[in-house]
Amino acid sequence: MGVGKSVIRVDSVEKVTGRSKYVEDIYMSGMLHAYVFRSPVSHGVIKRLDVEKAKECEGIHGIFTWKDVPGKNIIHVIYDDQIFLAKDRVLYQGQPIAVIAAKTPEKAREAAKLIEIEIEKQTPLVDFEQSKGSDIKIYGDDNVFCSFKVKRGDIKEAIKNEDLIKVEDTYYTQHQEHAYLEPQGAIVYWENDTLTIRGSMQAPFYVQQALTEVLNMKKSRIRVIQQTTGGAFGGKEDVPNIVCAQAAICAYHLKVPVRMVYERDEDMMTMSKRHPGRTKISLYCDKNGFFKAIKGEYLENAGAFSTLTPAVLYRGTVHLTGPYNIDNVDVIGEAVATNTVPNGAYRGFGSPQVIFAMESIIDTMAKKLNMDPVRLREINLLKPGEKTCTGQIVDDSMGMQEVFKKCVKESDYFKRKEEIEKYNEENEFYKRGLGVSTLYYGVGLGAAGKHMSRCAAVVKIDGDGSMTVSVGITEMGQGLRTVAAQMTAEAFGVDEDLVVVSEIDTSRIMDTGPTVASRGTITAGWGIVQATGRIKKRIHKFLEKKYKERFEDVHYRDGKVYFGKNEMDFHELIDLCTSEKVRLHETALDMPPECTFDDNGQGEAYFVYAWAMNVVETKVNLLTGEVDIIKAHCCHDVGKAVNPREVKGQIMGGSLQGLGYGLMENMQLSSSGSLLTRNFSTYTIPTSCDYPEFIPLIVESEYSKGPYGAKGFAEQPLMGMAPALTNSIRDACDIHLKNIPATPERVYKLLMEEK
Amino acid sequence: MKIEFRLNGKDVSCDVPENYTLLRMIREVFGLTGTKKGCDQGECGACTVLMDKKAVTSCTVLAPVVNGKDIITIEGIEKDGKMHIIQEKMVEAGAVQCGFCTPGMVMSAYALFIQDKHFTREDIKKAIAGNLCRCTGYEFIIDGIEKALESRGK
Repeated sequence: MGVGKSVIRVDSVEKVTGRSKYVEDIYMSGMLHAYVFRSPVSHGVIKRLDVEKAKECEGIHGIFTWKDVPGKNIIHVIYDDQIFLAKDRVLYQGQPIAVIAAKTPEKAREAAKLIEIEIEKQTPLVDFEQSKGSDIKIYGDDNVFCSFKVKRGDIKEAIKNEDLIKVEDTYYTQHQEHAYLEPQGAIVYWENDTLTIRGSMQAPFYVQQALTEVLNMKKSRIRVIQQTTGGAFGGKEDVPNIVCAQAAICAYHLKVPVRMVYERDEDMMTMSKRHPGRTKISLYCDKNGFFKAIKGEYLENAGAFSTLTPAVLYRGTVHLTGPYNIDNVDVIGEAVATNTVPNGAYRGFGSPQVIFAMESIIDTMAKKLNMDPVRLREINLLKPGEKTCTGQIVDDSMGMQEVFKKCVKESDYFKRKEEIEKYNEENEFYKRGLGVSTLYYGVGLGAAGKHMSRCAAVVKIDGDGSMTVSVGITEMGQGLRTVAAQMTAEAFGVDEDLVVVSEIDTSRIMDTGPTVASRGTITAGWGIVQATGRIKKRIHKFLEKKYKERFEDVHYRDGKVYFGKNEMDFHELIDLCTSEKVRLHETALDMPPECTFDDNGQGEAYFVYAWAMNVVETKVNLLTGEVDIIKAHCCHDVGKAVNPREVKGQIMGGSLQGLGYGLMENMQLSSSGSLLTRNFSTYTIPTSCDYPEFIPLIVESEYSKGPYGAKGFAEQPLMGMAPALTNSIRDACDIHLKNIPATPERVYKLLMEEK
Repeated sequence: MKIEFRLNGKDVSCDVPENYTLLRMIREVFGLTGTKKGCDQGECGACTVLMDKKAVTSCTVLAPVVNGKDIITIEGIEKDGKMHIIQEKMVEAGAVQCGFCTPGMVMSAYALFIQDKHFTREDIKKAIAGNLCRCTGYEFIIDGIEKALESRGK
């Protein structure tokens, strides 16, 4: 019962029995199926588009193009550059051109073949390193969507010191596909003269805003309800704006229910991915290993439209230098356009790319100094009261030191290092290695997203003592409904069974921004603490009036209520309050602590940080280049683990996504920008036979301002796994991977070069 | 075409287009939506059901093949409204996050459960290697299945 206990998830019985309803499990009478006709080329000018013949097909109820958009033909995210249905030019293969509404998905597909289109092909710009200033124009004058900088101290002066030791390198990271098991989908229908959308999504308020603009309708006439969502990981942050708009334009015109569920290949080909990145770093330290200065240049491949790129780039730029105390910092981040699928949010949000670079180069420095990589990190890690690269003092919930100590101890790092050395001496063809990474994560939207940063909750207690809680935060598998139930139950000292966390519905709750940036627990929690607190205050006053005496405190514990010398059952209290018309219903709206970021990238970039360290052991086959991941210690400071078992679930699940990113997930594009890996047989993700022995470790340095001390961390498990993996490969066989994933081909090639 | 088979212990028959998959048939003709479609290509395992006591991806079995077969879906393993022990143990182990892979995962485990054999942890890993999960990192799923198998006393 309550916070800090590994209670059973509130949604697990429904899910394990198959009774949960995902979008594709909803069938409505008269329902049509929507399908999207897309650009076959990566870059071109539409000369002619004719859908009349296709419309004549049997079973086709409508085909909608840009001409049928009642509002703006734009899918709003941050900038307004993303076209809803292409009108005159196409900028990536798969860009939506028309939406077909048909009796069955098959009929829609057949009709799509009859759509007549003439596109004058143009040379596509695929290589993002060639994008800035290219003759091929995708966005603005120079194809640059946005840039950020972080400048601290005086880098020019600092690096004049000739005694400093310098290392520099350039690192590349690839696309990563979210591979949520449930593909994108939505069902749209009219009810109460309101266009109602049920979809698989992280951010219902985004969808509501986007549809308001596309359909030119009032927000109150667009009701968005999150349906049970089968995984998201960032892939259902802004992208459902597109999916829901596609289904919605059909329902808008045809006035019947329209369901749209993507096929896997369509989903992989056209939905957002992690931005590929290039990171150049020059790191300077003194002869004792203390970091003195760092220069970083981060370039992101945004794809054809900006979507969430400005926010993604902000996080990447701020996280590049890692959790280290460095006085002189000069980091530039830039994101450019290419004729490829637009990239967006993915767990870690622009940071795994730069963390891979930073954590790799630290190992290069360690080698140069002849120091153990753990020791080098140890002397440079931030301590409470020191400043991050944005000049922000970190002292509240600052668990870095404890994370480091716990992880080194629990992983038995130094002893294993010796054992591995012995193993490697005795074995010719197999070599083992240990690799580490240390990192931090700014919780929440930070200064770049502060305009969306709100938290709200509605708590209602019924006469029988059961409660309903609504929050603006979605459940997508991470366990939010369980955590929200636990925090509400904790407030009244009752069992979670009494609490129902309702589905998120834009008609019932205020806009609290998206469920992203590891902000679910803290955002829902703040709202719940405030709403329950007010109800408790009201009950307190009522009891004082009723008993005609002052009570220092009204205490709720184990289903009982204690005040003064009195004791009462919780149910009895609620029954009394109800009969005497005490309002047991409360809406809370709160703002998190302020964040700032000035022109030089200085300020309180995030209100609090999570901290982590990973130790990964691998075994490399020198004859084939194959890498086995043996063991992974993953240690995270989470503030307060509201549900420790679910925290461990997040650690292991996120870490395996990070290991997949580092080892095998290899999205391939053709030279013309066509995405080639469109299913799980060509884009392979880790299976039950690929995961290592996980040792998830939790540190709880409670956040003074957080609900019950909690902060948030669920992206962090992914973020540092790729460099911990490649560093362990480097430790095993002395090859320096500057690109991921560490496929056998890539490892083998480096091994051959090493010889 | 008309086909007859056993579905969750009952004899059933239906008229179904020849190009329907078993997945589509159980979802759309019989309304059993607990079996999920994750890829429709036999790669993710979300649609796993039992056909003649063996785990199969129902998206790669054509409906005519099912004629005369014995099919068990996620809806068919609960008894008297009580969850199967595999489901109970998976819930207790924290094996469920987004839940989309879960019914398929349960069915792959069920195919082991009904065999009169002992299975090691490695066997379990291999048995669910065709069931992708993107949320959990697999450990808690395997914990749950292992506990359920132990309960058989083998």
